[in-house]
Amino acid sequence: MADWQNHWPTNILTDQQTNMIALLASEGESLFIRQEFGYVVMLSIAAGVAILVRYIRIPYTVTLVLVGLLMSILQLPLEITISSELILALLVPPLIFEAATHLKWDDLRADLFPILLFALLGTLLSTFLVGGATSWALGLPLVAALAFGALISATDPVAVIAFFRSLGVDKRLSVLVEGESLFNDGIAVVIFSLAVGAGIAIAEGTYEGFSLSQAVVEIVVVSFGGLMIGAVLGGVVSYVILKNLDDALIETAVTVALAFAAYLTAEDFGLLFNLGDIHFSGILSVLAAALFVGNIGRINTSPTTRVTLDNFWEFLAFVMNSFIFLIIGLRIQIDRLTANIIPILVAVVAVLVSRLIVVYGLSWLHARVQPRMSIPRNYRHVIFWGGLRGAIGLALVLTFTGEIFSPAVAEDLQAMTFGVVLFTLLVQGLSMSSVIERLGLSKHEPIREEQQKRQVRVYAKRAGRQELDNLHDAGILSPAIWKAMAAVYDARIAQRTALLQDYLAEFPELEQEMVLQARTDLLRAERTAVADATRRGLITEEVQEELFREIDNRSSALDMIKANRGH
Amino acid sequence: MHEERQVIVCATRGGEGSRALQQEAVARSRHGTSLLIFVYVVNHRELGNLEEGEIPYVEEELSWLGETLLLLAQNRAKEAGVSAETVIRTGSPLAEIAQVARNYKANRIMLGAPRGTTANVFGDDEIERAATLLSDETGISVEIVRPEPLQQHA
Repeated sequence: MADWQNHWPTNILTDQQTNMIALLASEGESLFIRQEFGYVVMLSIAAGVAILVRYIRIPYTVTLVLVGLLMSILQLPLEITISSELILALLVPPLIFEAATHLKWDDLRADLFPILLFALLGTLLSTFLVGGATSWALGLPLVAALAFGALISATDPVAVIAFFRSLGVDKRLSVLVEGESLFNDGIAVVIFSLAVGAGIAIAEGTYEGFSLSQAVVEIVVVSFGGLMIGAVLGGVVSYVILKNLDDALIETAVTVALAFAAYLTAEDFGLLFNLGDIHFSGILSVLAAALFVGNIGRINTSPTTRVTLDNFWEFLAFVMNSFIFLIIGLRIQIDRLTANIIPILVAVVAVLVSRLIVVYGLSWLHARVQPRMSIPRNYRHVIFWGGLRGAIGLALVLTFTGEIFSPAVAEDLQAMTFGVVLFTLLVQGLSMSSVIERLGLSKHEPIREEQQKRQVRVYAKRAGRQELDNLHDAGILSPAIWKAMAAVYDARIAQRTALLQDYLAEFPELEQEMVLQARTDLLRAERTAVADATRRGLITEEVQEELFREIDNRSSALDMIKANRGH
Repeated sequence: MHEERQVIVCATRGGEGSRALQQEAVARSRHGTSLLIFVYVVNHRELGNLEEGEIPYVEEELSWLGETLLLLAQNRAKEAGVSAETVIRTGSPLAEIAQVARNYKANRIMLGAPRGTTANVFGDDEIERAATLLSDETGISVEIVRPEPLQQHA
């Protein structure tokens, strides 16, 4: 029985009322348990998919969508409430926060102009291009089409960034894609709110006409306000708390509170400060707060605390991402997609064409303004094709329940959004890896793969040779057979070792990488040895902590060296 | 007739440029009685602005990396029958290389450059300028070695 029932003043209620309360509580508990079970299942599926993608060459997020789709087709009875608020207020803030804390201000500042150009002007242009095209081709009300244009303009870099990491692309390309995506998420939500506001005004008969200048002013105010709120909160937390203490638990709790507080304070600014309906961009607020934490708050954070924080946030982002992409799969109804195939195709073409115009057009414009910083052509191709859509579009389209626009329009918009998200994830997401490789942007992959193959052949042969000795020592193999087989094995090992050494001679950067990786493994072994010494009672926990700090500091230094040398 | 021993200072940092210059230096030394001095300069500034507390650990790890890379180079030279010594220093790469070259009365300094225009320890495309500065500073001829163009692998 729920705890609150024990404190309920049942003596003033009739028996019928008491029974009703008990029934409602039991239904509530049952719903809660069913929902909890749903989330447990989703988390288990996410873990299963994470294991699966180790063996297949499909991105994690795409696999999650496919699994979600399969679950939707099989109609598995999962009780999960999926709402726009759940995605925007609960799942998205941690994702934005985690991604933005890793953005170095120096890298961001170097390309801030093109990032803002893509995020602000690009999102506006894309909204009008996609909105205009879908309204014209499908006869959708212009305001509804513009709302669709806005929500579908928010790019989601999760799958693309995962490719960037595995293929080792240039850091600048990564910053451009991630930076654009983080900023345009916020801008798209703002433009979307304006379009929806216009839709509501039209429905209520209070619409006074569209003014571009007024819309731009509102976008700037809402965006800038969001950034300011996040900057203030992030600045206070970073300068007052994070910079002055080094405690993993407190810092984790503070950063989690900050991520959600930044979002809620901006979105509910008027409500919180009794200022009426004033609100600012929650996503941009989270972004600004995270930039402060990542670039200032972590200055005095010890590597040990940093490792704990990073691990926590990585886990949180993993869970949130898993939920979002599974939800995308779960919400897609194949029969609705096939019934709306024409609007979906129109939307896909409109989205691709508008992305093409935005990326190449604005890159050209940027090259005129900052010729020395112009974005290389092959980067532009990746930015164009890497414009995948995901969580934000999904969250926003779920707000259409047939009240703002007619139910038929709402269904069209939902089908178009799911269709575009699915297309970008499956077609663009799955071809991204080969696009990056064909454009020659992958620094390591073929070279590294070949090195790994050569290395593992030596490793495997040595393991076999070791087992041969074990068989001989156990008396299973006769000395004569052992001797003959050992000679053959030794020759093979020498041959494989020579092949590996030749390769390392040709690509010496791999040798340095191996040295640094081995050093990382050795430091890990040292850490394990220290923990072991504590368990055996050889050293106290205080000594262990001190030694851990020292080893973590060295690991952190090693990570910096690796990053600096492009590994 | 007794041939004077040539002393060649080879700046080592790891990576393709350093390996190419090591191979070139060893190849040349086989024809004479040269002594190779492999130098590694620990320079935490290559990692940008670090916190005060981070510098000792970064220097320690760079030093550890440097010692390993120097020993690899020395062993390869020895396998090829070439005498080689190793020197590890901390500070500004140009100043330290110049100092080592003067200490050993080197006849030549060799610097390795990456294949493309990728940044190296002296900064983007700055290696030619660094070579000129080193040469002016020490009066010793400085040579830049670049690796062979990359072969296509199936």
